[in-house]
Amino acid sequence: MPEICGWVQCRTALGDPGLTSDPRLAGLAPMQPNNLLFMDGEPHRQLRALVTPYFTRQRLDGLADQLGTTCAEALGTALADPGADLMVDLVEPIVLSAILSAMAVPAANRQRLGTLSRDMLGLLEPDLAAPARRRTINAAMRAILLFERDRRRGEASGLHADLERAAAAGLISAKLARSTPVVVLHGGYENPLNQLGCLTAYAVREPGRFKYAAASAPALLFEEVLRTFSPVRTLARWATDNGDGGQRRRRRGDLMWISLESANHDSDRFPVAEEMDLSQRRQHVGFGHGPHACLGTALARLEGRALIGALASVPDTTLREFSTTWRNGVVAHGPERILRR
Amino acid sequence: MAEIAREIDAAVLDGIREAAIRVKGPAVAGGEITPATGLWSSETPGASSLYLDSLDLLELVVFIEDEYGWTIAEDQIDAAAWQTVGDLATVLTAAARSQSTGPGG
Repeated sequence: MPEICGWVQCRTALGDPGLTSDPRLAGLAPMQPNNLLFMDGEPHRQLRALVTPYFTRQRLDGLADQLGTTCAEALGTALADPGADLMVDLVEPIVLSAILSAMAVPAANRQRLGTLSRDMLGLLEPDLAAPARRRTINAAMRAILLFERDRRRGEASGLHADLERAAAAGLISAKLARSTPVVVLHGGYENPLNQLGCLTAYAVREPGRFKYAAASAPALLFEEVLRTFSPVRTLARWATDNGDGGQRRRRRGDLMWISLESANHDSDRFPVAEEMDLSQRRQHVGFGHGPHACLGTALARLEGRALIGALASVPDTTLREFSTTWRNGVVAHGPERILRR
Repeated sequence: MAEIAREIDAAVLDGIREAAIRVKGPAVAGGEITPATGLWSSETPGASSLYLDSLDLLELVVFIEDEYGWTIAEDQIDAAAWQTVGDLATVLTAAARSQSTGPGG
């Protein structure tokens, strides 16, 4: 299915103005979608600029201690449970704590939004079965309703409140102010869930190598896990023009799948592509590239740092008690469970 | 009892009509709205519809909540099950009845 493959081709495609995230610009929709992920150009830049301040390194550094505590508590609970699933008992609590705190979601909504985030898992997959599609869409609508009710009560806070202020000032539409918190919540849940899941899967599969890397180059370990596992596999773009589409000619309106996985495994750039190389910092496209590069990169790295530190303290024999089953989607893949055998 | 039920049914339909005009404007929602009117965009030529998107629907639900006090539990939201004004009216009517009789009523 991916039509654009390879390091150079994918990086070029992700910066190509002839490929858009907005189906309207490709002649496929009458209106601009009310979704940050499916916008482009100035409206996209403007909305992104409102979200970005919540995900800067400087702002997120204040979350480091909280994530460390969440991580240590969750790990302690998981290791005491003979039936533990490290995805549910360790990774998810870190991810939810991080994204809900980063967005400054009020405490009263956190538990419900956590459940709804779980129900949104797979929202962007193009081939979900009907019941799963219904579950993800309903969860997204229910989450939007929670934010909308907060607004009507005058209780919007954090990122949501800033977006509502921007809408009141005419900078963005009211619909974007309502939908964007849920788009950010979904992205800030599903992407790091897969990223941290891959990291944990590596730790339980190869505890010795994991610990060596955790001790010697923890930041590189996280980046190389993203490159080799490539939890975000593909991104969709639509052609706005007729022209060169990389490996084939494209026509306006064509859907083009860009394979981040192929870019991260391109043997012309990474000679032993499947192997981690901790000797140097290498680029990858695990966070995407170009105008839509992941907004939550700094948060994901912070979460990864906390998790690496916690997992490095677990004895090898304990880590080896766990085994991983995988969830493979067209857009993303990651561990479904990391269960104690 | 039957009279009260009919009044609630009529009030709910009026509430949906008012909310739809508020959300979509009189040009789209100012015509006749019946239980058979579709909620979403329809590909059937000439089909009566409010042409809502999911955000319009949520705005409509919250407007009715504020104006009439009929609150739909958040976990009742089901975009696939709600295809017509009648589907939405059924859920709102249940909310209106339970909220008019109160707990245990």
